[in-house]
Amino acid sequence: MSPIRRKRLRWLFEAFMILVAIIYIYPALFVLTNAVKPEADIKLHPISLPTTVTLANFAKAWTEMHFASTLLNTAIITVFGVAGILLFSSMAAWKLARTLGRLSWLLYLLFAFALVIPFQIVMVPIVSLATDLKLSTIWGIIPMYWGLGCPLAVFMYHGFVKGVPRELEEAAAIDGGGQVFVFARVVFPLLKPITATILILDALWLWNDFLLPLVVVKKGTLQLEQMHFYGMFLREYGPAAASLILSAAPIIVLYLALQKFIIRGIAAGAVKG
Amino acid sequence: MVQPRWKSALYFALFVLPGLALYALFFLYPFGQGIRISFTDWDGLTPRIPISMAKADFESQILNRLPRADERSFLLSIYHLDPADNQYKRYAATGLTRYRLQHLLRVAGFQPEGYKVVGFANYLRIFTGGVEERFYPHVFTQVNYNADSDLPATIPRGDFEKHFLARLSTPQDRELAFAFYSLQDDVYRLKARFDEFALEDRIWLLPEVAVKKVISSEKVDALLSSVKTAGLQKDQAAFNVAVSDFVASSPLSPAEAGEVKAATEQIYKLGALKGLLASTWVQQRFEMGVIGFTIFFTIFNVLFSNLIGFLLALALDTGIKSQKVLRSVFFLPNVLSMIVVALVWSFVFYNLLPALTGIDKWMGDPDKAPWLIVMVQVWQQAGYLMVIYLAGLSNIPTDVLEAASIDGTGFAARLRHITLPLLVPAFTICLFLSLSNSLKSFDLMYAMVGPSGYALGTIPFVMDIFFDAFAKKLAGLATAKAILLFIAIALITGVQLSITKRREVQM
Repeated sequence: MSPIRRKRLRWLFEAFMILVAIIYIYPALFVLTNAVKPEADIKLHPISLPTTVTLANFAKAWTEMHFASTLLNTAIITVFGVAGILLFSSMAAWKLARTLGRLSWLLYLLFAFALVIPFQIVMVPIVSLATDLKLSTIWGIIPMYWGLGCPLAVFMYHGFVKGVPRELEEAAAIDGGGQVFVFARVVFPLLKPITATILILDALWLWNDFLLPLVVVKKGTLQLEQMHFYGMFLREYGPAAASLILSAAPIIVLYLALQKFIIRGIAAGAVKG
Repeated sequence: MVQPRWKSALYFALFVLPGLALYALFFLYPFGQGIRISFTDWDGLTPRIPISMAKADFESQILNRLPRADERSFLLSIYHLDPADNQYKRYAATGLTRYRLQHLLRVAGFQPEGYKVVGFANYLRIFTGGVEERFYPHVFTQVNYNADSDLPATIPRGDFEKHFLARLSTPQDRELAFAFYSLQDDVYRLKARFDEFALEDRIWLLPEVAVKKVISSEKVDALLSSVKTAGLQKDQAAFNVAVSDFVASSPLSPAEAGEVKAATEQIYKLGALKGLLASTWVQQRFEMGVIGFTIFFTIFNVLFSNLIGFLLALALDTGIKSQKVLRSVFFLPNVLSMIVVALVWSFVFYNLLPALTGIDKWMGDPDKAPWLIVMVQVWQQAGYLMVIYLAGLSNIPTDVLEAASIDGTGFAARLRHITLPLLVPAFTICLFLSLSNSLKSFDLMYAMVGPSGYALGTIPFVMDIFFDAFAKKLAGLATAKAILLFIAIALITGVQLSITKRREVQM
C-alpha cells in the first residue's frame, strides 16, 4: 500500500468511526431535540430539528418532578452514602489487611462472601428491617448503603493495602502518632488511587440506584421521580423528553468534566472487582 | 510496633467494628432472614407475632402450651385482654422483647396463618412446575377471536389464509368464509352489507317494527339472539323454529316475511362463521416464560455486548486521532441510570422508529420486544466493556505486534495469534461482568415494560421475584427463587471463570 493510499484509508476510517459514534449517541440527541419542541411539532415532525424552541416542557417537568428537592435528596444520599462507605470500609480493610491471624482472615472472607449474593435474597427482609428501624426515609436509606456497599469496598481496599509498604505507618507510629492519627494522616492519603476508584463506582451506583429506593423509600429520589413522572406523562411527549434531559443533565455534566478519571476509575474497578 | 496485646485488640475492634456492624445489620442479618423466609409460606404482611387474637385461640394455642409460669407471665405482660371484643392484644414489642416473644411462640409451637414453616415446599414447587405456567417455557394456544365479539372488520391476509382458510375441512365452510370476507388491499375485509348491524337493521327497519310498532322490540331481540345462538351452534332446526314462530306470530306481508327469512338466514350464517372463526383461528405459540427469557436475554446480551465492545475497542485502538472523544461518546450511556436509558429508548420506540419506518408497533409486539430489550442493554453496556478491552489492548506490548508486522504477518493473523490470546484476561472479566449483570438485570425491563411484560414474555427472573414478593404476596416463594438464582449465578460464573482462567497466558 502506498503511503498516500494508506493515509486516505486512515481518514476514511476516522470519518466512518465518527459517523458510527453519532449514530450510537443519536437516541440521546433525538430526545434532546424533541424536549425543546412544542407538543404538536413532536407528533408531526419528530425527526427534524426544532423550528420553534420552547422551554415550557422543562418548566413543567421541573415543577411536576419537584426537581429541586429531588435533586437535593439524591445528592444527600450519594454524598453521605459514599462518604460512609469510604470511611468505614477503608478503616476495616486497613486493619484486616495489617492484622495477621485467623480472625482477621475469616472476617475478610465474611465481607467477600456478600459479593456473590444477589440483592433479591435480602430484598424482602431488608424492607421489614427498614420498617422496624424506621429507616424508610431519604436519610434512613444512607446507613443501608453503608452496610450494602462495604463488601466490595473492603475487598478493593484490602487488595490495595497489601501492596502498600508498612514502613511509613511504622515510622509514624514510632514518632508517637496514635493509630487514629496514623490512619488519617498517613494511611488514608496513601490509599488515594483506590479511594478515587471506589468513589466513582459507588457514586454512580448510589446516584443511579433504583431497586433499593423503590422498595424502601418509594419516592423522592431522582430515578424514582423520573419513573413516576414518565408514567404520568406517557402521552405528553414534550414534558417526558424534558424530564429525561433534566435527570440526565447532572451526571452528564459531571461526566464531561471528569471523564478521564471516571473511565480510568471504572476500568480499574472492573479489573480489581 | 510494640503494643500491649489488649491495646492492639482494642484498635482492631475500633477500626473493624463500624463497617462490620453495618454489614452484619444490613446484609448478613437480612441474608439469614431471607434463607429462613424461603422455607415459609410468608405472604410478606402477616406479622410473625400476632397483633391480636381471639381469647379462646390465644389461650389454647399459645398461653396454655407454655410450660413455665415465668414465660406465661412474660407473655401476659405483652398481651392484654381487651374486654370490648374479647381479644388479646399486643403492646408494641421491639428489640429483645420481640426475640423473647418469638422464642415463646416457638416453644408453644404456634405459627400464624400466612407465616408457616413449609420446609422445602417452595423449592419443590419451582422444580415440579407448581408455580404459574408463564414462569416456564411453554406452548400455549392463542385464541385470536372471541365469539362474543363482533366479526373483525379486517383480518390480515396471512392469518386468514394460513391460520383459518387452510384449516377448514368442508367446501361449505370455505364458501361461508368467502361470503363474508373478500380480499382487498392485501387484507381480508368484512363486506359492508354483511356487517352485523347492517344485517340486523334489515329486521329492525321493517315498517311493522320501526314505524307501526306492532312488533315489540323485545320480540325482535329474542328472534335475533336465538338465531345467532342457533348459528353459533350450527343448529338448523332451532333456527327454523325461531324464524317460523316469529313469522307466524307477526302481522307481516308475504314479501316482508320473505325478507325476514332472507335476513335471518344471513344472521344465522354470521353466527356460524363466528363459531368457525373462534374455534379455527387459533395459533399454537411458544412462549419463553420467565426462565426462557432470562436465558435468552443473557445469551444474546453477553454475545452482542462483548462483540460490539470488542470491535469498538479494536477500532479505537488503531491510533485514530479522535480516539479520546469517541471513547467518551461510546462510554456515555454507561454513566446514565438504567431508568433514564430505558425511557430514552421508549421515547425513541414511540416517536422516532414509527416516523422512520412506518411501523407503529415496537415494544408492543411480542416478536420484537425481547430483541429490543437486548438492544438497549447492549447499547448501555458495550461502552463499558469497550473500556476494559481497550485497557487490555494497551497492555499488549507494541514491540511484539511490530515485530510480527515487520515479519509480514497480516492483521488477521496478528489478531488471531497475538492479540486474542493476550486479551484472554480482559475476556475473563468482561464475560463475568456481562454474565452476572444480565442475570441480575431489573431496572431496564421494569422501566420499559413493567408488569405488562408478562403478556410480552419479557419478564426476567429478578423481576418475577419482585412481583412475587410485593404484588402477589408470595414473599416465601420469591425468596426461594432468589436463592435458586444465586446458585445459578454462582454455578454459571464459576464455570465461566474456570474455563477462561485456564486459557490465560502468562507473558
